[in-house]
Amino acid sequence: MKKLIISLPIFLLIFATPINTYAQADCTTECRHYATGCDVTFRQTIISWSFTMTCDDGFHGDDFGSGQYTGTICGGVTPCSVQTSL
Amino acid sequence: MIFKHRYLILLTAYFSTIGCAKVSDKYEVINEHYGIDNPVSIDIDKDVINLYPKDFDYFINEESQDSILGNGKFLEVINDSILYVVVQSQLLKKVNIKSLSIEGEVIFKGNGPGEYNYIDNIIRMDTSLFILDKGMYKLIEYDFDLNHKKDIKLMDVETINQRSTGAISSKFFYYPIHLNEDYLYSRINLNDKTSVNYHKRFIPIGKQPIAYNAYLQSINSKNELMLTSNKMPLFFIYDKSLQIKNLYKLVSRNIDKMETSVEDKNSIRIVNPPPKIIDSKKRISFTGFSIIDAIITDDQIFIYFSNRFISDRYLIALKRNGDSWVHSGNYRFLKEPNDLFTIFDMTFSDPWLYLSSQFEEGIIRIDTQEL
Repeated sequence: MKKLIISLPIFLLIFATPINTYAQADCTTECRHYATGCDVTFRQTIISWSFTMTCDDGFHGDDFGSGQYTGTICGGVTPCSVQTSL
Repeated sequence: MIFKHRYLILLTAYFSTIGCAKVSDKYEVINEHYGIDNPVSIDIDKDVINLYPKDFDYFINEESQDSILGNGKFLEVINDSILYVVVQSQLLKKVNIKSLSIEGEVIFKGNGPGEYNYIDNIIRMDTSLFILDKGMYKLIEYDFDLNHKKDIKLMDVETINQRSTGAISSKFFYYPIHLNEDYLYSRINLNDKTSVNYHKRFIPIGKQPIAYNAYLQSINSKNELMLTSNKMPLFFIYDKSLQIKNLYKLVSRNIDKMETSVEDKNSIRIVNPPPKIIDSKKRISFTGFSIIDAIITDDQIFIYFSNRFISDRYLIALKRNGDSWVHSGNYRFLKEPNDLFTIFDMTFSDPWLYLSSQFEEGIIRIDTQEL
C-alpha cells in the first residue's frame, strides 16, 4: 500500500532541481533512485529526450520532451546530453 | 459565484458521463488509421489466479550472500543456461539454471566490432545470440559461447521510445525506426541486407505523445509477427508478407480505467486518455496504462501488464482458437501473500515461460501448458 501511494507522485520526486546541463555527447544514462526504489534510463537525442522508469514494486512509467533536457535525475545525477551545434 | 461553481460541477459531471459512455470507442481512431473494419475484442474479465513458489519453478541462490542469479535486465534461455544483462555495468551474464553456476561473464563495451556502448536488448535465434545497441545503430551477432560473429549496421533506429523493441526470425530482424514519415518499423534481411518498412506511423514526427508509436514485437515459428502496444490494450498480428491479419483489443472492466490526466504550465501527465495527437512542446509523462512485455508462441500469447496500481499487475494468457485468439487466464506471481514478484522481462523456451526483473534475485519458470 505504501508503494502504491509512492508510485503516483514519483515523477515529481525524481525529476527535480532544474539546472543547465552542458552538451557533451550522444548518450544514455542509467541510475537508481534509492529513495523510491526506481531505476531510470535517460536518453537524449538531437531533437528530444525520454525517461523510462521501472520500480521495485512493478510500477512502470515514461516521460518525454523535446529539445535538450535541463535538470537532474535520480535525486541529483546530471545526465549527459547531445551536442546540438558546434 | 456559487452558481458558477454549480454550473461547472454540472458541466464536469456531464462530460464525465459522456466520457464514460464512450470508453468502448476510445480506440476507434486506431481502427480507422490502420483500415481495420473488424477488430476482435477479447474479454479478459476473469479473476486473477494467485500463484506461489509451490506452483512454479523458482530459481534463487539462497546460500550465497552475493547473488549470482537474477537482478538482471532482459532475458534469454539457451538450453539450461539463462542469459541476462546487469545494466549498471553492461555485463552480459550466463548462469546454469540447474547448478546455479556462472558459465560466463563478459563486458564488450567499446566502439569496435563486436562491441557495444549500451545494450538495448538481447535476442536469441537457433544458433546465435544478438545484442541490439540502438545508439550505435547496430545489431551484434555472437555464438552461444559469446564469441563475436559479425556486426549488422542498421540505417535508422528509434531510440527515444525505449520500450519499442525488436524481434528476430530465421533470416529477418524487425526493429523500430524513427526518421520515416510513413512507417514505424523496418524488416531487414540479415543475408542480403535489403529492407522493407511496415506498420503505419500513428503520431507524426515532431508531435506528441510518441509513446503511442511504441510496440513490443514478438514472432513465432509460423512467422506471425505480434506488435503489442505499450500504452493501449491492443495488439496487431502481421503475416509473413507483413500484411495486417487482424487487430485485437483486450477488454475488461479494470484493464483500461479512465482517470483524469493533469496539465500545468510545463507538463502534461497522461493517465489513460484516448489516443490522439497533442500539439505541445510540454513534457509528457505517462503514469497509467502500461504493457511491459509480450510474447507470441505458436499456440499461446502472454502479455504482462504493469499498470498504475499493484492490483493491476499480472500476466494475461491467451490461446489459439482456429484463426483467432481467446482468453485462457490471468495470473499473478507472488513470493508470499501480499509480496508480488516484480516482473519486467519474459522469454519463452518451449514449453517454459521465464519471468524476471532487475529487482529480483530469483527467476521464475512455469510450464506454459498449465496456463
